[in-house]
Amino acid sequence: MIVCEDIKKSFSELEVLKGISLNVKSGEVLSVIGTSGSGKSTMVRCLNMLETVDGGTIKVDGIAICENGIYSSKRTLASVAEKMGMVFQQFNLFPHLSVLRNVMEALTVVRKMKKREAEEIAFSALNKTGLSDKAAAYPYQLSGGQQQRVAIARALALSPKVLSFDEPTSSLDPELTGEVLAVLKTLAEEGTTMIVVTHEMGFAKDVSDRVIFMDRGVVAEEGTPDAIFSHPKNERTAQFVGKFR
Amino acid sequence: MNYDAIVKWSGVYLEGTWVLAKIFFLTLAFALPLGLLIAVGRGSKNPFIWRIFHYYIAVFRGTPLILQLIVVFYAPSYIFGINLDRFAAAVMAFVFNYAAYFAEIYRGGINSIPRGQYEAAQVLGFSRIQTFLKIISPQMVKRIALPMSNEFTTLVKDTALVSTLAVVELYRSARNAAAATTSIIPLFAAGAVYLVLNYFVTRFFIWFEKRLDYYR
Repeated sequence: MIVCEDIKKSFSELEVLKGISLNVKSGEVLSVIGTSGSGKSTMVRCLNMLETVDGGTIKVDGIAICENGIYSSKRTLASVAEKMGMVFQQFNLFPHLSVLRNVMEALTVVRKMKKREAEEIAFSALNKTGLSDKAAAYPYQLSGGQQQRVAIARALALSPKVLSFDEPTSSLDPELTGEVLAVLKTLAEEGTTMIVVTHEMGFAKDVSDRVIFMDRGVVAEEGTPDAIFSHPKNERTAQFVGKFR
Repeated sequence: MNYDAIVKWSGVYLEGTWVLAKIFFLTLAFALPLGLLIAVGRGSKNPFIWRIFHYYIAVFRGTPLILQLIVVFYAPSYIFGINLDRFAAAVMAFVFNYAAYFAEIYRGGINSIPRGQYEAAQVLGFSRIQTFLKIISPQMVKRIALPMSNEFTTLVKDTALVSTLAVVELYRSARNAAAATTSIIPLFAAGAVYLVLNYFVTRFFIWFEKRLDYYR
């Protein structure tokens, strides 16, 4: 589904990604773990075109976002963007729109869907994250966990082929973390292709099909959760996952 | 000055207030959209473009409005021999001046919107224009209401400056009345009218802010 080859990214002097290669298969749940500053978020942001890479190739569903650092046409990028969904650490809900409008806005504005139809899709997305009873509420009236579940519904409503999560629970307290992870788990079980940047080792261990450990801008190790958590080969991986045993 | 005199002069006051209102609304009608264009230009990444608007704002915020009135009225006649209508020149100067202030208020409002709002809109597929219209500007309006209420009340009072171009508005009417009646009372009366007008401006903004109170 996603193929990355040797992607590089620097912010002025600082090289954040030093040649990342990875594959995500359709229906796979990939967890990306690693210390802060290891480049996990930047990597996921590059996949979602929120950052431009300096070099390397990214392909989604066979269509190139960039090849050897050269980006495809705007039109191609827009068609790729349609396949991608993203959930942020800070939710980034639209505060001036109700929960329902948050979820349906892209359907009506971007996809030019009729209001009725968009509402229907929005409600079913909200149902999936257990928030259809909050459709009329505004984001500020919701808890952090609920806000993040709205953000997930908002991404789901566009039925993306790949859903990226950038530390979806990092700004939530442990109690609220649980309800968001439960939604992620359901999505995983339904076969949604997901890339989850996370510090939730329990989630990475139990829910993902594959885990990538990133360290200082490179993929230090990748493998099944069992391989990464129980039999790490890399010394840095061992150090990192050791703290969570 | 007695009661009869007030009745006698009230017509003049009404006319003066009418001219004031025309300047007020015409200035807003043109300066509010023009300010947005200037704000967008000022926010451009192209150094040539943003500098032009930067200098525009510097000139119109950096010089007295009363001087701008004089320049806008007299400069075309000196340079091109075009004689502008006094009222039109006055409104033009006000539009140029207020658009500069509005632009900076818009820019402040736009810049205060978190980066995450743009990113969320982008990953949902919104174009830049759609993002501005549907996501950014509604939130900007709420954030600029307070500084805008400052500008609106100032504009009501600034209309007094057009008397420089011999346009007869409320202040000029009151001065004429004061001269004719050799009394200072007509000027106080004009002050009361400004106060009342700005009371309505303030009430409008209270209503407006309340209307946007449904979200935080």
